[in-house]
Amino acid sequence: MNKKSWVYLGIGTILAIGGWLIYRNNRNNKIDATPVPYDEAIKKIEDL
Amino acid sequence: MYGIATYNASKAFIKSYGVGVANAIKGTQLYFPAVMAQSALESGYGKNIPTGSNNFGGIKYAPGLPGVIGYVSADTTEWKNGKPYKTIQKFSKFKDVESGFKAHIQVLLADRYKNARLKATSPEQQILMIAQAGYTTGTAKEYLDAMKGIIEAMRDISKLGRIS
Repeated sequence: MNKKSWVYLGIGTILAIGGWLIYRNNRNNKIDATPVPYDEAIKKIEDL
Repeated sequence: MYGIATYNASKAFIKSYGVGVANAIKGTQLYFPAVMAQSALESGYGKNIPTGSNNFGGIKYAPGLPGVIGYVSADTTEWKNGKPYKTIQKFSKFKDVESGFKAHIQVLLADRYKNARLKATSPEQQILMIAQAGYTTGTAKEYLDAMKGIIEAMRDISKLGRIS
C-alpha cells in the first residue's frame, strides 16, 4: 500500500472506533436509564 | 474494557445466580450489573468465598442477618490509612446460596446506602456511592476501579439496568 492508502486506513480505523464508542456509550446510557420489567428481565437472563 | 476471561466468567455467573439476584433486587433501585459485579468480585466469581460460607458479598459476621447460621474465619485484605494489610476476619456463614445472596442485598438496602440506590444514574456511580457510604475499608475509587470491567461485562451480557 502507498502512503495515501495508509492515511485513509488510519482515518477509517479512527472513525470506526470512535463511532463504536459513541454507539456503545449511548446504548449504555439507555440501559442505565430504563428500568426493565421483572418478567422481561427474567426472560433475558434465562435466554443467555 | 474487559477481556474474554472476564466475559466468560461473568456470563457463567449470571447464568448461575442471575435469576436469584433479579428476584432479590426487583423494585429496589439497585442496578443488576452493580450487584452482580460486586458479588463476583467479593467472591471471586463464587470460587473464593470462605469455605462453606455461601457468603457472596464478603459480609462480616452479623448474627442478626436472616439465614446466618454462624461464622467462618478467613484470611482477607483490609485497608487502613490507604494501605492494604492481611488479616483474619470472621465472615457470616449462611445456610444456603440463596440466603447468602439475599443477605448481600439486604445489606445494600440499609439506610446508609439509600442515596446510592436512589440517586445513582449508572451502576458504576452506584458502586462508587456504596463504597463512599462505607461498604469497603479501602478507597471508593479503588473499589470501583477493581470492578469497572466486571460491571461493563455484566451490562453488556445482560442488557439490564434496574429491574422494576
